[in-house]
Amino acid sequence: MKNLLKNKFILITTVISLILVATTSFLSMLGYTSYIRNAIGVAVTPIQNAAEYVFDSVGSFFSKHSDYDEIKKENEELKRRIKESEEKIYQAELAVGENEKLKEYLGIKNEHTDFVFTDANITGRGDGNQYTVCTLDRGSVHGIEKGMPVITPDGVVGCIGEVGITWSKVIPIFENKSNVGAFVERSGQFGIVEGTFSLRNDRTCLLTYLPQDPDVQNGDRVLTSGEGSTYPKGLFIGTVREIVSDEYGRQTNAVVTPAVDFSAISHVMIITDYETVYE
Amino acid sequence: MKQYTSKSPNTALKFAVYIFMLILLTVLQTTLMPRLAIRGVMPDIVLPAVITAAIYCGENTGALFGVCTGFVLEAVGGSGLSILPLIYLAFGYIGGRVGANARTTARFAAWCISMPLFISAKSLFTFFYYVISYGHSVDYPLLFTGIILPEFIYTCIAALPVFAVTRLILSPFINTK
Repeated sequence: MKNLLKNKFILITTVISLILVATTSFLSMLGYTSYIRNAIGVAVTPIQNAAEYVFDSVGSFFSKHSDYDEIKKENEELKRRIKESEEKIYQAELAVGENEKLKEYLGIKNEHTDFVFTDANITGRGDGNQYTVCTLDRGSVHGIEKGMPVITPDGVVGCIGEVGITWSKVIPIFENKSNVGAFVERSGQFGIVEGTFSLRNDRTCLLTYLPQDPDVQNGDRVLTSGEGSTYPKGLFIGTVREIVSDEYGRQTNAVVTPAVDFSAISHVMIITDYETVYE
Repeated sequence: MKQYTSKSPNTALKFAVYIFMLILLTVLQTTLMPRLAIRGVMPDIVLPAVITAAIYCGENTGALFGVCTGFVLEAVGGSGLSILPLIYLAFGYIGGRVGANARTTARFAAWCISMPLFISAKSLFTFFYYVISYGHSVDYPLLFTGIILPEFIYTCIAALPVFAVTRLILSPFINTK
């Protein structure tokens, strides 16, 4: 303790750090992003982007070659031909995958002509095990604002939780902070899809606030209801996996498996504007 | 005639190396580690690097490197409300004291003994973060077996390679006295 009090460098560093942490946290609670966070985000995002690209390439390289090894073991005679054709198939798969993805995105754009989209790439994911956030390469200079919905052709990813100049962060729908107005497509019953502590590790969420004796079955599709002004109506959230009761047995809830595979997405669309439909 | 030698090139190089380390750790923690995560739990590679820097380069360096890394990591991958910089500052300072009290030849032993304690302390931080964030809905057995324990084990596994790389990169700046 004596050493600590004598060490002016540590004392000054601690005081400055406390001020910065307090300022940053206070601004964050008010919904603002501090200049420091913004500057760091602007500086690091391009490097993150490059690293993501490298790790993607390395990952696909190794997965490609592990497949090749299996084929080689199964059939040594076709070794050379497989090697040649595999490269062609890999290139073709890349092209087909890209084409399919673009078609899907075009499809969803044609389906929702009232939506204004901004495409974005995921450049990073949460730094720890306490929270799950994805960092996107789009920020306030691209017209991104806090609360904007983020989707893929498969369904809802989440909404923008924080915006920097050139980056933004998505809070996925299975996170604890997330609440989405929803309805069951088959029965039309309304509820709220929310993230819970016990389900977030499985990347699933809970459909709650359903009416008494709700008409919900396993496999039912759950869509956004448009309530709450964040998400437009009719976006696919996921399917009901299990019907569960709360701990007191008074409320029936449904576990919903999101349509989006969060670990596999690399490209998303941010809905920057949409027309609200009143019925 | 008196000879003057400037220390600035060495200091500039030291800063450059630390900034490189900081960016490297941040990028790896936010891009590579999520890919290595098992059931959503990933190792913390920043903590072993901060402790290595602290034990081998002193408490001031450790604390400053810790707090800077904490800020950058929190800004790039955090949620906005985090005391991570202060945690790493404290770890950097304590790690530096551990290094100062150990003989030069026994620093690796000091690192080996103190590292599990630092990782446990970080796990304690993760535990309190969950308790504060999720309140009554925390499932304690799940929290322990699904997050705290795997995080501890993965970080212990990752610590030695991180130590080796950090020690190598920082070798020109290590205090030998």
